[in-house]
Amino acid sequence: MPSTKELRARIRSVSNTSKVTGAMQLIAASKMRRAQDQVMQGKKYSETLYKLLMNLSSSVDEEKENIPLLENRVIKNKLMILITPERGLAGALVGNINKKALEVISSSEENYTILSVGKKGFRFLNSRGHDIVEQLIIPDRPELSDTIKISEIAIKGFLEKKWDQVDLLYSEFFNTTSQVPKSQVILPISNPESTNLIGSKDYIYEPSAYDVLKDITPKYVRSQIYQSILESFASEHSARMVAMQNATDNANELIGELTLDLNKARQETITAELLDLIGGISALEGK
Amino acid sequence: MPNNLNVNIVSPSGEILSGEAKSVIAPGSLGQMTILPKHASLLSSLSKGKIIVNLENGEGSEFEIDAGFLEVSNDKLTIIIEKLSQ
Repeated sequence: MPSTKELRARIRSVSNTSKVTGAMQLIAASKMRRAQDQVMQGKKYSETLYKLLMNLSSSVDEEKENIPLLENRVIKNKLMILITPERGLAGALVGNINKKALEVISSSEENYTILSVGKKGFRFLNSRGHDIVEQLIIPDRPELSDTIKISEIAIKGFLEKKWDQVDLLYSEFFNTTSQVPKSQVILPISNPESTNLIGSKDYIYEPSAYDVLKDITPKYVRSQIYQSILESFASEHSARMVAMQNATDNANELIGELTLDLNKARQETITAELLDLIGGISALEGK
Repeated sequence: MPNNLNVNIVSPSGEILSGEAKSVIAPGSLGQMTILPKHASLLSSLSKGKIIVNLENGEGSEFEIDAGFLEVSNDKLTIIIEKLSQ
């Protein structure tokens, strides 16, 4: 049994830890709310853009091949845009994304080049000797303009045929407790033949459907990258909040157990002292 | 009021405007245009210029944009832009 002094010291250190994790939980919670808000706001934009794209691609048929970002060519090289958090302490989130990244890379026959956003993925893949073309850092609460550099690298390389396909790997945000790593092809833009847009042939296009489609494709790529970054941030803060909440709960539980031990130890010393006293008295009386 | 346009201006950081309007003036890539209710379905790219929304209550809103897209269909008008001009 540790002494009361040792127990007090341990309780103090655990309660300090619980204060730190509690504070981190609150910070993560407020950042999470903002990030979730941004995801919601951004969704409207990317969904509207997607609707327009579908509308257009159903009315441009023959010339579609001439739009560079829609071009399906033989895939020799691929680019992976890997979006990971800057910092850890977010539970299994980082590990899950990195595991998924390795899985995608190893299951593909083509060669992958990596564009890494966030330190965690960069360190992980760099230590494994993967070819990392660029390492970028996106500030918290990103604007679309903060993410344009990523899309520019991706689009430029695609047009220069450095890679024939661009994958996006990020953590999809469902809700506070559920985030799943997701791999998505963003270039060439896939256009599922939309049959549900009846009447879209009646549209007037200015200057022409082909020109509008050509203009809209890079915007669509940008919006997809932006949205995935927003989701990654929301996932990161949610995962961190949950992890810190668990840590705080565990610390508090530990404090409870230690306090119980401390009380026991204290009582034991008192009992021992009393026994000593009583023993002394009865020894005196027995004389 | 049946003869109104339902206007939404959407950007990545959220909706900039959402409401009923009598008319909308926008800088189309082929020249400035005014959209009134019952306009034929249209999808146009927008160039640098000013969007003016004449709201139902008589007020007007103006936005400067660099580029964007405009869609009208069934009196629902959506303008999508990456950002407002500074």
